[in-house]
Formats: sequence, C-alpha cells, structure tokens
Amino acid sequence: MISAIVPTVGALERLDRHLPSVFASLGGSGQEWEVLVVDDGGGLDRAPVPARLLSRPVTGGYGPAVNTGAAAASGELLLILNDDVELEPSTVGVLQAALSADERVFAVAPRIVSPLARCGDEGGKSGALRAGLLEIEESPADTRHPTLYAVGCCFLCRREDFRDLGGFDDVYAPFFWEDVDLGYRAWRSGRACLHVPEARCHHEGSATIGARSMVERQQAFHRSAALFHLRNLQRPALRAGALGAWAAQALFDGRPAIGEGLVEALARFARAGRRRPEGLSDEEILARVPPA
Amino acid sequence: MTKADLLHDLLDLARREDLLEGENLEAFVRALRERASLILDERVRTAEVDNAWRKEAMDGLQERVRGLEAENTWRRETVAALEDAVQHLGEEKAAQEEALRRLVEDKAAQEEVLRRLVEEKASIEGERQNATHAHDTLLVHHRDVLRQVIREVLAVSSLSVVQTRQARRRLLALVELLRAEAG
Repeated sequence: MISAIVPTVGALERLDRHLPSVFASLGGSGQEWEVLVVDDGGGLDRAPVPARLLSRPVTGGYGPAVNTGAAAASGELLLILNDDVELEPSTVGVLQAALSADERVFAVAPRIVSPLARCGDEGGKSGALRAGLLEIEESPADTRHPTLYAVGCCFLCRREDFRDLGGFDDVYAPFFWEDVDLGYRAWRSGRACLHVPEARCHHEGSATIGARSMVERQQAFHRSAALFHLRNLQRPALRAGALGAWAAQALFDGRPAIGEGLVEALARFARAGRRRPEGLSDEEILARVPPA
Repeated sequence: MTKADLLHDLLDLARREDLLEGENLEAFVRALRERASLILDERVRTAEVDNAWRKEAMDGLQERVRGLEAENTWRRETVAALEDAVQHLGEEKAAQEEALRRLVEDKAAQEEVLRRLVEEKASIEGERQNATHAHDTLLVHHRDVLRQVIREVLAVSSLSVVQTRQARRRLLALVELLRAEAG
C-alpha cells in the first residue's frame, strides 16, 4: 500500500487543483493507496475526497507536518508531496518499480519540472564541499543516477526506512534543508537516494514558503544550512572548515539574514547537538553523488 | 547580536571542539580565506556590474546632454531665424500700413475730386439749363420780333404811295427794333 502524505497550510484551492492528478497516478500504479492531507495549522475542515484530513492545531513547518502524516500512514511506502505538485499518470508506478528494484535505495525522486530549477529539473542533486561549506548543484540526467537527497516536494520511500532514520528532523522547522538532512542520513546509513528521470512531476514552486518575506526565507535558509553542517559533518577538519567559512561570512558578508541565521543555528545546535559518527564518512557520501 | 559577538561564538564553538589546533586550524584558516575570497570576489563582481551599469548610465546621460545641447543650439538658431522673420514681417507690415495709409489718402483725394466733379457737373448742368432757358426765351423773343417784322413789312408793303411817310416812319421804327435786337 502507498500512503501519500501532503502537508499544507489551509490551501484547499491548491489541493483541489492538484490532488486529482495524485489520485489518478496512485490509481495507475496498481497498488492500494491512501492520501493523507496534513493541515499544518491552516484551519481546513475538509480535504478533497477521498483524501483523509489530519489537522495540526499550530503551524509547525514542513518536516513536522510530514512526520505527523508518516506516523498515521498505513502504507509500507510513503509518497511525500507538496500541495503544489501535479503528477503524471505513470509517475507513481515508475517510482514504485524503481524503489522496489533495489532494497538499498531509501528514496526515489522523479524529474521535477519546476520554475525553481535553472536546468528545468530540480529532482537530481549533487553536493561538493567548497570553501568550507557544502554546495548543492542541480544534477540533471536522462538516466537514473544517485542524488544527494530526494527533494522534499516529491519522493517515494519506504515507511520503515523513514521511521528508522527518524523522519524529518524538527530542528530545521519550519523549512529548508530538512530533505537534504534526511537524504544525507540515508546515505550515511548505507542507503541510497535515486533520481528517476523517467518519472515526472510538475512543481508549481514555493507555493507555501513564498508567502514568507524574502528576508525571512534567506534567514531560514542560512540557519538550516548551518544546522546541517553542525549536525552532520563528522570529520573535525570539515567542521573546522565550516566554522572558518562562517567566520568569513561574519567578517565580510554584510547581509543581516546570514548573521541572524547563523546566530539562530548556533542556538538550536546547542540544544540538538551533533549526530553520532557512525556509518559512511562525509567524503564517502559525497563521492557517491557526483554530478550526473 | 553584533558581528564581534557572532565571531566570538563561532570561535568559542571551535575552541570547545578542539578545532583550532593542528590540521583543523589549517582547515579553519583555509576555509576562512577561501570563503572570504569568494565573498569579496562576489562583491567585486557585483561592484563591477554596478560600476558598468553606472558607467552605461553616465554615458547615456552624457549622450543625452549632448543631444540636449544640440537641440538647444538648434532651438536657439530657430528662435533667431524666427525673430528675423518676425522683424521682417514687422517691417513689411509697416510698409503695407504706409501703403494702405497712402491708398486711403488717395482714395480720399479721389473722392474729393469726384465730389468736386459732381458739383461741377451739377453747376454745368445748371448753367446748361439756364442757357437753354435763355436760349428758348431768346428764341421766343426772336420769333416775336420776326413775327413783328413780318407784320410790319406786310403792313408797310400794303401802304399806298401816299402813305410813304408813314411807311418810312414805320420802317425806321422797325430798324430801331432790329438794331436794339442786334445789340
């Protein structure tokens, strides 16, 4: 059974617009399915039929909302979707086949046709350390290839793996980098993330986050990026490099959003701490997700 | 929080994690230098783009100023030409007004002449009528005289020889009459 989890903040009109394509694609997979709409403090009183509505009384952000859905899901597979994603009839079937083909794969992500992507596909990602920080690049390809993470707007994974990894880390709430973090942890644990370009979805782009101000988004981005490094980088020299890079940003980059983001990241890191150093090394992980 | 506070917190974290020693310190410094270089390069690039934009804007403004100056020169020349034309038209207008004034004077003079001619014509017409009247009166008078002469001549011619004296007297009276007529 496939459980689709669609977090939203009261965007019934978007759900009405896009969910029919999700129902059709799930139906086309030949699997049993359910759709869980997780309303993240948006005040929804219904969801498009036949989706089930789960309501969170207070807005907590993308990761916590997905975790709520995953906790209530009945399926052994989780299809995580933004509320502004349109699927093609074959999308779910192709993703499901790709995921089933390899037990070592944690998540599969389709080609994500999106105005947010410079190359037109935000589904494939590679990562490289540059001047102390992890920089993520689009990694488009026409054939399946490893991707650093499955972009949060649309991916299919096993519920057992998702729960085993601990789901999305709430420390990133309300948004940004929680999907990078989840993918990185999957790679760390020896699992893989796969870009499956023959499956396609269409992403409207930043439909929920776009309601926030640019400064707020920049601050959240830099806070989450810093948290990712603080929480995940294990080798001391890499951690020293990240701190050196942030020192340079503190000294030479005058954008308040960066400074504020770093301050908040340090405060959250003080509470959350660093993950345990087990599994693949950072270098091994990044070596497995070269540009396509 | 100030930049210094943030830097202090970052260094404090690095110190607590023993990252400011040996190869970790090297990595810290290398990343700081490389990231600073990226940031400054980006600033330089942005400044260059900004500078290029400013230069283009300045070039555009200077071009506009040149255009305005050329336009101003053209306007000045046009205004001068228009002023010349206005002056010329003024002079032409004055000449035309003078000519008009003369025409008005000529007309007045001609009207005076005409008025005099009309008066003269009326006078002549009066004289002609007087002359005609005098002529007619004279003609009537002459006819009366002639009829009187005819009567006297007929009367004299019918007198007998013995009435010679009477005839002679009457002829003399007739001569006197005619002499008076002859003036």
